[in-house]
Amino acid sequence: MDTFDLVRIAGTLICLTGIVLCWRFARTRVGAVAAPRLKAVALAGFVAAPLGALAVANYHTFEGTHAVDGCARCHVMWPMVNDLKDPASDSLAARHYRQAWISTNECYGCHADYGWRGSLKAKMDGFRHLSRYTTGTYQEPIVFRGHFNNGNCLKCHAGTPPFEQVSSHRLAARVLSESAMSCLNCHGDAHPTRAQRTPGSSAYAHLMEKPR
Amino acid sequence: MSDLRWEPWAAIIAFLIAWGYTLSPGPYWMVAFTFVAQPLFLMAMAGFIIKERRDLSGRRSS
Repeated sequence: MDTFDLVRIAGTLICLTGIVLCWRFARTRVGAVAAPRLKAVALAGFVAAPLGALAVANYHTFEGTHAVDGCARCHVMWPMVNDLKDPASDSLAARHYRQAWISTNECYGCHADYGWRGSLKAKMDGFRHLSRYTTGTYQEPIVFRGHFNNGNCLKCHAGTPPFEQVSSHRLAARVLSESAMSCLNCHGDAHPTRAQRTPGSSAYAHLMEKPR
Repeated sequence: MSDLRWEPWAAIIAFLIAWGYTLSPGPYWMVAFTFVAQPLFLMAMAGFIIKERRDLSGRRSS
């Protein structure tokens, strides 16, 4: 049994308990002077159970979204996930996935700005993506509006012998660390190109298959 | 603890949404949980605490 199953079981128990407790107060009026036991029940239903439900459900918001499956829940991300898992793909993301250079939570490994410790701007971007997706106010191919932080690459690569042996890395160290130059300039596309992700393109149907 | 009228219903709706999100954490449940259930939980908690405090201070003064 993994954490996801535990969260589902705990969430179900807490929410059902909360509903039963609150139902008691929804159906009957309680006077100002209530028995201490009834007050304890109310405290459990209106404070303890909601706090428990918030903690458990937010697991999905703050931890579940780190998993590749979390990204694949929005079908607009399927081209990225399918390409990631494609053994024949030569994209930067697919090469990292195939070689297991990032052992788990592969999307989040390179897009860590979205995490709990990420910037406020990254949080706002996340909510913007969520609102645009759920209201259908977006167009394919989706476009990354922000500026990718090279720190997401350098946190693993900087300082390693293979990285330091490349003279251009040493020459461009400052602009790379300031994200003034993209790593993708030399290392190719991280994901399928916009042309491939455009509806009607030859690659689109394959990229939009439901990820396994 | 008097006049708990809307608080139980707000909490019940929030529990149902939180339950759905826990079982099926997709984008639509996430929106409902983030923007509906969480505010409802906070409103229900605040409503209960405010009324309980009011009752307790009323009993002390009487």
